[in-house]
Amino acid sequence: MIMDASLAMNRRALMQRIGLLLGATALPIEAFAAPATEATRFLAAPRFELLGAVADTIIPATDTPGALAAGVPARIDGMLSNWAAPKTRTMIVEALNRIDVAAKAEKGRGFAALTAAERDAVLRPHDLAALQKVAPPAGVPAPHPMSSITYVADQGYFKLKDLVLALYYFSEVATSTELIYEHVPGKFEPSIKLTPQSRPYLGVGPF
Amino acid sequence: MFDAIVIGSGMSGGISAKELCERGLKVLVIERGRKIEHGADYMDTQMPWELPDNNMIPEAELDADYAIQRQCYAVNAATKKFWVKDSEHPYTTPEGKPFAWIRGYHLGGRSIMWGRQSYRLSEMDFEANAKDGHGCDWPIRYADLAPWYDHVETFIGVAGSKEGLPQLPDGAFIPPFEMNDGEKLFKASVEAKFPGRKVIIGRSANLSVAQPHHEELGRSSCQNRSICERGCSFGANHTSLSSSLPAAERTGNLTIVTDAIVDSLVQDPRTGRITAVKVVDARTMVGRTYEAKVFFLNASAIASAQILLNSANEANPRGLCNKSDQVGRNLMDHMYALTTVGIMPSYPADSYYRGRRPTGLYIPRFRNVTEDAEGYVRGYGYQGGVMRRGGKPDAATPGLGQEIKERGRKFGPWMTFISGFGEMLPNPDNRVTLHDARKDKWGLPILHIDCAQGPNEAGMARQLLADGKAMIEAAGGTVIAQANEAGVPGLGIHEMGTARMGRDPLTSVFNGWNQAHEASNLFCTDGAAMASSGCQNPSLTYMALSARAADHAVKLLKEGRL
Repeated sequence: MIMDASLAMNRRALMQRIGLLLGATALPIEAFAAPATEATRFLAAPRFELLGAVADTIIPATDTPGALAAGVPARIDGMLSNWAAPKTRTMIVEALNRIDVAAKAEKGRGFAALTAAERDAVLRPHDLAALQKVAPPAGVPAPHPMSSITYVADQGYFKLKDLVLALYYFSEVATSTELIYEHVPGKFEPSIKLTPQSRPYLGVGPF
Repeated sequence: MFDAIVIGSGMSGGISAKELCERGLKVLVIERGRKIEHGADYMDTQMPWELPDNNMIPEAELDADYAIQRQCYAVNAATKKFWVKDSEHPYTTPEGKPFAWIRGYHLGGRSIMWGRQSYRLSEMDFEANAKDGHGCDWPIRYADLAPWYDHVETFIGVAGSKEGLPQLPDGAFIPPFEMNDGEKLFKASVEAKFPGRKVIIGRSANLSVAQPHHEELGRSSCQNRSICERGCSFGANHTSLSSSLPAAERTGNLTIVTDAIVDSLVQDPRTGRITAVKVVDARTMVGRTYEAKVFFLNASAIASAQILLNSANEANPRGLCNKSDQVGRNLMDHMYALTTVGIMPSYPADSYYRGRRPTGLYIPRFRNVTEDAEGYVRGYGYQGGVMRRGGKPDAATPGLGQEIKERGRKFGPWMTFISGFGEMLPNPDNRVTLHDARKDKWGLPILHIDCAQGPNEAGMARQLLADGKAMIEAAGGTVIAQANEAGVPGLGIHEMGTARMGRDPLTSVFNGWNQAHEASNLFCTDGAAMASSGCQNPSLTYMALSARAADHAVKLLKEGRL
């Protein structure tokens, strides 16, 4: 949290508020961070392993932590159970299955059983083919220019990858190592000079 | 017995209550929704990873309960509690003529989630109906409202720059938010290529710098988070909960009742005065009545018309205060979602900004002001911004692993988006009526909303998009996407006009003091009273009308004339 002393405000009142804010976040952190056990998971173990392997291939640990350290597979599993309608759930599970089928065809083993290099070799062409842009389905108007809706060859894979990226980038781990998310920027600085080390901030909201 | 009853606790009701309380009246605010608490009921402290389901509402729940509300940009898991369930609050529309009625039923209403853009109407807006013959003439002019705009802006805190534009009068501003380097370049190019057009920073009810009178109410300066629609625990945006209701409360004159759905107003047939409000308790379904000397309708444009229509009696079979047959008619909303997006390849690659400023750019109206229009009356303004692409990488771009991370770490080009807000003409055929058969779960007739944009709006939309493209190109940009039609009416969330002000009781419902022609102690100062829509975001005008009418009502009451 970055504060700026030049802001004209009642600093004491502000600090009190921030104290309240921090206090208020303690409970939900624990509530949401509770790890799902195998028994409470939506996906059966083999498919959960497949999801983990795919997430780890999309965002592996490199110079920064990856999707596994960010807890992405458990979050997606939770969303399959809480958020996804049956159609979306099927789309995402089928997209995972297709990756497994490709692994078996090319390497003779399921995707989760492959080495990191093999997984990358299988998923890379799959990703390229799955994300080929296609026309919207008949009768569906083109999406609004500000919309994130995209029509691609494998819509389930796109949804899966989008969730992996969103849950990774907005995770507690990645927002302090990969791209910074400042929940309370404090001040708006309209012009800062970039250096070779600068990285974009993560945004929420329209601006 | 109260001195005054204010129906609705949102944007306009909050100000009506404050102004009446501050003038010594004992005021009852009636809110149909539940009570919520400033701060405690907000989801603005949660970090992104603490929000459920990547801040999305479960798909099945969206389908079942939020079929209309889900179309609004601000609907997500963190704001879910602030939107009505469409399944509980139905209305009908004709086949093929959708209208998106975006609502929030809780203390503070839509003031909690509003977009905060705050612009004055100008003299040309108040003269427009008289000049081109659409609608009925406004009974007031800019000078009547100007001091009340000052009054409200000072109280709520509007960050803005003085520009000296006749079509967008300056106000009593706190310091403006600043433009980034891309926006400054865009401004310079557009203003150089199109004399008469201006690109200014959006005027917004966010406290760029909280003033002592804001801090007295527990409000503090904006932290540049841009998650305002979740409710702001800093009280940095004006809402009924952060600002107007606390001001009313500290007078000791305010009483609030929540979960009370107004059924109708009761009129004394002999004197014409309103004597009481009938409500239904939202939880127990039990009816009860509240009495007062003065009544303010601030239920929001469509709901205020609904209350008048549902207050029909033998002497007023068409609804109360409706001899003009204008109650429910002339429904307007701003044309919305007419967006153009461009990439700015020549903008500086080494410049960036920090923080999420809670406002963008504004381009005040120029058509039918400094430039002619192609076959339509009135005009439009734009909201937008110039930002660098960056942040979470796009999942639709092929690639894996370190490649994705590297893409996310790079700064993308500057991107401009500008989205037009077009004025919609008052048209008596755009109307809300009580459904002749269906009732809601409280036994009140549901509404039928029949509204569509007309040929004037279609012509305006064409030029709005062409102008948007031309301005981005004039600034050196390449347009990469553009909307091809306006959004469904209602999505501007600027619905208004359904019980208009006017001089003539035969053609209007409220007079120049927002006082009913047919009931001297009834005032309406929400969007219903608007005789035309301008193209400016309207909340500031509703608040100014509320303060002005409250002042007048108290004077009349003290003189024994109500």
